Amino acid sequence: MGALKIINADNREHAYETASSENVRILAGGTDILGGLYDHIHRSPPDGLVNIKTLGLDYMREDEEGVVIGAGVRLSDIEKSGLLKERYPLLADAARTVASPQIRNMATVGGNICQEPRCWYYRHQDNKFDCLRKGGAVCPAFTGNNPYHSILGSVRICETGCQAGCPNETSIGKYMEQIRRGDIEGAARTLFEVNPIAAVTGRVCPHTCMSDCARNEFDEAVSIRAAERFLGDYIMGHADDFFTAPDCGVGMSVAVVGAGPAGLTAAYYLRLSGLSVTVFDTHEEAGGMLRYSIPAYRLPRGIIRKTKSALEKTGVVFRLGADCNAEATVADYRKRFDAVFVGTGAQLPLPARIEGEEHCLNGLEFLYNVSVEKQAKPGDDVLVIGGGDVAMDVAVTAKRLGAKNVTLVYRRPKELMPAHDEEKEQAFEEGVAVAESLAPVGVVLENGKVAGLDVAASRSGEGRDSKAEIDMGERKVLKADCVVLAIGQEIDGRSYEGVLDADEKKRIKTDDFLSSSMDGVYAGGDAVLGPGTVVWAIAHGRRAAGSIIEYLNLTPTRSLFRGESGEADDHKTPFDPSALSNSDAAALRLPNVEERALYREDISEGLDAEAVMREAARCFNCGCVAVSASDLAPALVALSATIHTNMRVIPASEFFGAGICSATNLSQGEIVMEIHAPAPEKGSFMEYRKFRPRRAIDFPVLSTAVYIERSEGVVKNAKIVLGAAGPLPYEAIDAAAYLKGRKIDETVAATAATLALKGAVPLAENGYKVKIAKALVRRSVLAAASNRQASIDIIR
Amino acid sequence: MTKTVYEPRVKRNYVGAYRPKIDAREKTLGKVRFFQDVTLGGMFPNTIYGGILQSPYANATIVGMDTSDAEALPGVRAVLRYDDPEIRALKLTTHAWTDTAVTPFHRDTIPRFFDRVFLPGSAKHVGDQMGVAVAADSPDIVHEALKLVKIEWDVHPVFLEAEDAVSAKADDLHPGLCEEKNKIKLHGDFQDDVSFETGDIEKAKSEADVTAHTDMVYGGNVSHGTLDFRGLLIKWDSGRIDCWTNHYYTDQTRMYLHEYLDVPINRIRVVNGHCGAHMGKWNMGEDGYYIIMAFLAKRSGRPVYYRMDVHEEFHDTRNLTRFVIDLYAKNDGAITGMEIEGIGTMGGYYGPMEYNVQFIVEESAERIFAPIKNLRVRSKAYFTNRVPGGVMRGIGNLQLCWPLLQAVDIIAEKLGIDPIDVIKKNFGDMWSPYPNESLAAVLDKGAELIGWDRRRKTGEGELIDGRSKRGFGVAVWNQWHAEWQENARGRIEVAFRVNPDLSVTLISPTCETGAGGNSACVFACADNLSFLNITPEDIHWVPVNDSDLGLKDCPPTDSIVSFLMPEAMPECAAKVKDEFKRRGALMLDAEPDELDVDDAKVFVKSDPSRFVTCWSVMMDVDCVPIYAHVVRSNNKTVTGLPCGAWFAEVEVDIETGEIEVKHVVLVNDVGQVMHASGAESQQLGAQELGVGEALTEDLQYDRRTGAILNRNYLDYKMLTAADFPEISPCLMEVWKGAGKYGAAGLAEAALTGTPTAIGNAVHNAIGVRFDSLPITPKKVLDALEKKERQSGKEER
Amino acid sequence: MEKEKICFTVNGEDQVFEIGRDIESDARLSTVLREKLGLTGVRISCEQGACGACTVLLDGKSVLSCMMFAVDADGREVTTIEAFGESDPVASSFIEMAEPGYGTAMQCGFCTPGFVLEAHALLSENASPAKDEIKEALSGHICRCGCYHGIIRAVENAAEKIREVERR
Repeated sequence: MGALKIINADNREHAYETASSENVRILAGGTDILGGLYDHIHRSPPDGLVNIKTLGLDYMREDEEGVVIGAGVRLSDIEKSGLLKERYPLLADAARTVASPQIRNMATVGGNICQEPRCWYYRHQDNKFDCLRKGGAVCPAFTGNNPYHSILGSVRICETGCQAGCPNETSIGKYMEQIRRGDIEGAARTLFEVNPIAAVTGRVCPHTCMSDCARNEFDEAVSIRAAERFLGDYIMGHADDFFTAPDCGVGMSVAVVGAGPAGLTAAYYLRLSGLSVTVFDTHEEAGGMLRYSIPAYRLPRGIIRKTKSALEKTGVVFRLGADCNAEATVADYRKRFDAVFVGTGAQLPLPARIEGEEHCLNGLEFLYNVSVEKQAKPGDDVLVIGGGDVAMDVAVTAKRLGAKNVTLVYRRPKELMPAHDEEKEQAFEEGVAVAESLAPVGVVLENGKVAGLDVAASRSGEGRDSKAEIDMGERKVLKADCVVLAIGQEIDGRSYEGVLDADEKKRIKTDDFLSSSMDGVYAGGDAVLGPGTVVWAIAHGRRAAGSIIEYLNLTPTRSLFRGESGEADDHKTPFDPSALSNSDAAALRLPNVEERALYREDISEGLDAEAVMREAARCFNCGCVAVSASDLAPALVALSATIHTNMRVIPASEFFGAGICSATNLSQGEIVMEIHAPAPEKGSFMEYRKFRPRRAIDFPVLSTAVYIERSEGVVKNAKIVLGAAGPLPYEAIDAAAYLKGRKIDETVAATAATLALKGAVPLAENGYKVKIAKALVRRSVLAAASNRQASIDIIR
Repeated sequence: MTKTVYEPRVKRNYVGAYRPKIDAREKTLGKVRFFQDVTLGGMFPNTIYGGILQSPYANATIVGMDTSDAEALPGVRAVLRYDDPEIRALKLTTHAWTDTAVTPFHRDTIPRFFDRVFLPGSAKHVGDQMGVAVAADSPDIVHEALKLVKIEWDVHPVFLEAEDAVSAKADDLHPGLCEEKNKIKLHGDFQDDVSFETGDIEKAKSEADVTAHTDMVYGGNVSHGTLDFRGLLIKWDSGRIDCWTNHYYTDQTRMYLHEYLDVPINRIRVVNGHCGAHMGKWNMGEDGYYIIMAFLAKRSGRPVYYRMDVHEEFHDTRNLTRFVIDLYAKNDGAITGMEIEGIGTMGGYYGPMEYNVQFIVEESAERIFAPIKNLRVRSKAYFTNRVPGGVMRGIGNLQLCWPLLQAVDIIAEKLGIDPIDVIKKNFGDMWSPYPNESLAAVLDKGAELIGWDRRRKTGEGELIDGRSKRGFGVAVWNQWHAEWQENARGRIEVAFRVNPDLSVTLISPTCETGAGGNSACVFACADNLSFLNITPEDIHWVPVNDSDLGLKDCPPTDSIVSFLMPEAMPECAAKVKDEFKRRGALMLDAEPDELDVDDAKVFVKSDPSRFVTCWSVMMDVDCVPIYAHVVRSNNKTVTGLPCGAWFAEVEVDIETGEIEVKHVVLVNDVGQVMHASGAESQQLGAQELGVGEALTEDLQYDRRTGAILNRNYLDYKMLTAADFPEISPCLMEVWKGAGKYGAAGLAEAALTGTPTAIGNAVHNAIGVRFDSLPITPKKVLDALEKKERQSGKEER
Repeated sequence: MEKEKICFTVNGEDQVFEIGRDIESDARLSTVLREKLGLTGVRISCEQGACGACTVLLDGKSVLSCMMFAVDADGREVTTIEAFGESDPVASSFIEMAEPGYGTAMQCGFCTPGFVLEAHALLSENASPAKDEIKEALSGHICRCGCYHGIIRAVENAAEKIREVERR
């Protein structure tokens, strides 16, 4: 925590080098940085500052094109410059309204346009809120105290909470916006780009994205599951338009071993890039655990069958059941194909090593038999050993097969059972009981048939993975006529044992690109991670396909690579104003217990289009609503100035941006050198108006920079720019276009003002700013008519 | 804008003159040493720095704390934990410690609630000083060490409003002090919260021709905003405590240290001197950090320096008080009855809220609206997780004047009578003849200065340059702190020391915080020693209060030092004269009572030509200076109270909602002006708070976390020179108190009516009343929009 | 490169500080003036550029000494209140201010040095400023006692005094 190093820049290159290293900030006037340092507003203080005042950028000159102002010129020099006051009053007036005389004697024009965003959550001491603009997850101002915040919507800064919470980094914010605009097709395309089986995840994915939704702290998370299911079903309804064959083949072939979620996903993306794809699976049908483990009442079989036939239509070949050589190894496939993807999942039951294990049914086999409709009622007193999702599915299925008493036996307290809450609630709702903190010792037989289960008390340490001590002294027998083991799954590594490097749990070792130890062989899903969720399998399937395409040096389709959100270019994140008021999430309720069946989907109906649009309207489309509070920013945009850095020339209208802790589009280490403002037309009118609580020190609540060229009272050219109205200076293009060719009068000015604020999306507390903006625009445009400059003595 | 020159009722040499302050020179040239200057560099070589954790949570309890990393940080000298036995052994304290008299723990001068724990283990508001305190070699190390303390919190829901204080999810913050959850048990047992009732309110209600109802809130969002932050430097070794501080009352601080550290009073030395403006922040209370820093000093064996930063300085706010008032009046404007309910929203701890919701109303019934005979007063107050209320200049009076004088404005408007006449008919104190002469004088004078005749009926003023409406408003209140009200202040001590060269050392100990009591004392001393031809320039006022050497100091509340100490000077001057007569008698060979002293000569009354100069008396024998000391109790004769009147002229921009205060007139009858320039400076200066709290000062809570978002001087907006309105101060002497001078306090009264006059003026301009302050452009625009919608509805 | 040594004049006297030995590299100018040179007329309060109490003159222009690093004063001329005596026209106008209706130019005096220096900066640039120009020049200073009318009047009187001296 030693003193901050301050390095004086010898020259531009030295300044750039020093400023490029990660945690070094540029020091010009310093009045913005020092406020932040005193209050410790950043996640961590900078390591050093590079002082650019030594670069001698404090010159100002006029040439035939206009005026050149060095970035180091002080605001007081701009305010008092005769040249600027006479020919560029917009710049002189804007500089004059900044903060106070002392600050204007210290702050530079370069520093003013690079200042950090102005928001009292962002600037709270000790980074208390660690908000979205700092790379955090939530914008507390969006539904918090926002009287001074943006009235022009929000801007994307970094991955939203939901997208970061999704293993497949689905751009949820983007497709929610498309739904709001009624573009269901577009939303489905956005989702389909990263997830070809959304109808599956829309039903069975635990949706960790919802636990990271910013609405959790406001009222209730957006029901992303309901929206995903709706889009997934839409895709299924138009499968032929979505699953399309590639234009031409590339003459290479890939083997996909395992037709589970990972394999199906990989198959789709590989086929899309022109590869010929063959999917091998020892089961009769495709789908892996989607077909043979997850019960039909949660995931209808039709979805998987439809996906398989859609893939076949694109040219994917399936070798299932008998025509899949069960003994074939990955090495065999690698010989016959240019590349191989291994998605064999984790379908083997974990042995329980208790006496009489052979008399027990195995959970996965039980569910398999149910899935192929070869499983009768297992008995009337069924014990299911285990606490995970498989155990829940087994228990509920046993109940629905008619078993009178079904009891889960779990060696820890009930609340530590690893199954997802919804699954547990459903099980208990359907009458499944729990015998907690009991460890199975052995099956009790009576004349060769199962009569009970010998169990011992087990005291557990905290948390799921700490060792539980089993007290063999404290024993009892639980009555049972059937015992089912559901204590976990193991990987069936037969197809790659001795061929691919794998760990002691037979999980294939891969690098970040999911390539295995054998060249050209890639792997993903449960075979790499161990028993996991469907969405991880899809994410791996997509990433592995991308790696294979690169391995075969083909051109990947755009969406295959990580985190490509493809946002609108000015990364605006529009939202529906109704999102700002409290509302309940749309709920897909289970039917009551008696109506639930084994082979019919519990939730038969998803949301309709109108309900989905209502749910999408609840999405904040998380973006930052802090405003850019620079007074020079709107003035420079209105004058069509250009900003010259040590690397490039940027028009003022593209200079300002919204990044982490930054309000410009400058890259790390890029330094503003000069500002060029083109010479204004003769007789042009230009004016800066600033509205703030006090006549000094304050940042603008709202400001307008107006530049109007007129001949004989008719507007030839106009620029109207709003400051502190949104995250970036906002050019009211329509309003300016409207003025062109018109003579200014009261109604023309009023219409221009209304047009300027047409796109306003005020938050709960700053609607008043829209009215003030209109008043300032109207007054400025009218002033252009009478050429009466705003009374500059103390700018209102 | 006319400047009226004050005409003294009684011509005096120096008292009441327009002349510079006695310390203008040192203050202007920066020679005055404030606490941060006296203790520069810690004052002692081995001084270290102290800091206390500010709770990040509004309502939470510490369930685990690990200070090992903090203790290991190089430079950390002492760490004090909340579970330290010595700290836990300390008795409770209160922030309403004393009503400015030095009262030991058990003697109540005002009802006190002992609700504060030193370094508590639970937080009641964000910023609550609790949990752990650290002393280290530098403030940066203290900040780092506090961050290294690992704390496990149990966080509870936040509640900020009185209505939520009794809801299920609210914790009971102070069970021992409440009759219901969070509803404090006020002194006195009331039925249905009725704390005070007189006359027959039901009769007044039933016979009323016209009524007025106001339900208004004031406070909780404004604070002192002074520049000289609270702090102390304290040494505690070998049974002796030395403490330098900028607290405004040395004796009170010493009594506090004595009560809680169990050290004899004579072994505690407290020193203060010049102190920046305090606006009441020191009044009524001691703060835990004195005791905590003392323990850090004892534990580390080194002097500890502690000074709040700008965020901590928002330590308490003006008490958040809501008054619901119903006035019942007859057609001739006589107000026959008033029902009033005071609802206090306290913070996490008790500030003097009982005064704000109960005693202020009972007092005001005697002091300002005595003619209103039928009253029913309800009082209640609730704990919440807000920053506690404290004492702020004008305590309680602003909060009651705000709803009451607007209710009177409503009555006047309904009856079509000039509000001034309604006020004259219904206001005045119970001890002076009715109608009240002082009230009429200040109202008439103010009306003349503001140009009250230019006031139009509500909302009907013409539109100024198309966008602004003009309005005029009036408010009145009583001055207070007349001498008969100062029993609780304890005795006043004054001492003159006439030195051999006839220069005078004046000891009238008070902490000069800008109220200017010291200047008035010097002028009064010169007046009273006129027989020695003494001028103010011959008098040195001792600026340092050193509890080891000096007399008991008098806290400079409400600029009362300016006359309370002078009232003791005649007796003190008489003692000096007697001593001159005694010594003169020896030289003139006469009896002392045959002599008199004037024109710096001791002479025989019967033969003035027989005289000896005072100078020679001093030089006789051994040049022993003459020292006279007086201890005076204030004169308890009840003499009623003088009044003040406030007038405001405003322009409201109906397009941007901005209010410009064009002119403020305040007329204060003070009985005797002690120093005209000082008094007018108080009248002018008070508008910094009066107008600031009306228009721009507004602390905002983040509703979710309970943190104040603008706890700094950039976002807490105090008026600058560019915002200050035109003001016409006017001093009058109509009323007279007991004693030679018979003055009353002015500093607190000078701002009491300003916000209300502005509120009435804004209503007069645009026909909208605001039930809370400040009146921001947002509130104006939202209110105008609502008014339009309602009038729109009525038309349909 | 990082500077090892900085030197600047304070109230006419040259001062030299070695970084690392005399002062820290990121020491604020206000800290150096107060703690190294004992100039306690430079006052510390808001530490965010909002109150003006720490104002000093840098080459004759008003700056906030707590919002800049001492290294940025290298080679320049710093002026604090201690440069002025009671005969200075601005200081004397503040001291004598007692005109009816204007109150005094200070009450507690914490912010007064800042205002005096700002007035000097203004008058050195604009010998007879209009009232609104004085208000704008002083708008970076908070006086919580609210002595703005007395201060503005004192600046007007000071301008008059300076003009008179120049006339003679």
